[in-house]
Amino acid sequence: MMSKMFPLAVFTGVFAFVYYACFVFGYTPVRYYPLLGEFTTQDLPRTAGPAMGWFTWIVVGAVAGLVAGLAAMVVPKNIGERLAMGLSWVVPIGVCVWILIVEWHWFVE
Amino acid sequence: MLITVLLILHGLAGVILIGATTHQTIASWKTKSAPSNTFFQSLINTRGATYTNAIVILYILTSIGGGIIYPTYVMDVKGSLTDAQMLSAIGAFELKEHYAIVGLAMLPTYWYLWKKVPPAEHRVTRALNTTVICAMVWTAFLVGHILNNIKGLI
Repeated sequence: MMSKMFPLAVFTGVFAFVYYACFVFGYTPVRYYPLLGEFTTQDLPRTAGPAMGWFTWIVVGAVAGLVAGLAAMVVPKNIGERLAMGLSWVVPIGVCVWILIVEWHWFVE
Repeated sequence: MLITVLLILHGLAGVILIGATTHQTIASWKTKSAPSNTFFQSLINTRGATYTNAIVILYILTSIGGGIIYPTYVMDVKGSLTDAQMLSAIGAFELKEHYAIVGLAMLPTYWYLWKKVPPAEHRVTRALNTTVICAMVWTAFLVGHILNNIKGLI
């Protein structure tokens, strides 16, 4: 019954973690420049307007989650089931706390 | 004009999502059956599972809508907030954009818990997943609504 829960929980945890890690560590191989309406791998000059990394972080996080979720399918069912229930909400809440800690400076500056 | 229409649709989808996730969250913590004689009893007795597909679809559609109007925020709103030194408002939006994606990542497990796991099993896990998603939706909606109000004042 619970055989798919562990891969899904791994997908959730890895997606959320990798997405925010990309933001924190500035991993943005592709940037979107809304003023130009262009995606590019190059760091354009300031005249190109603000750059956005959000779309890239989502894609990187989702792909990492997908790969990890597929890999998690080989974990024995009895081990995976025990971990899945906690993993499904502990990691997302942990990432939310991490987000709050990192972003807190906006509210105290 | 198109962005304004999209922003309104994004907000309306958020309103529906708030209603659905709040109902489902309340229902998910229900411990025993009770008659639906009062408003609050009816609220608690909502059949939570029936909301699941609608919430997943609405969450994805709302996220796509948010993604479409996000560049406009970066170009038109964020600059105004920076000029006005409204750093808390910028920070609130940062929380919104990140929490929304964490919620998006949770949708597969959330859906599985409601649709594939028998209702009597893993009730707390199901309720926690639902509550976290509900909290994300409330945060995103309130921040978006407040920022929209602020931009109207600048």
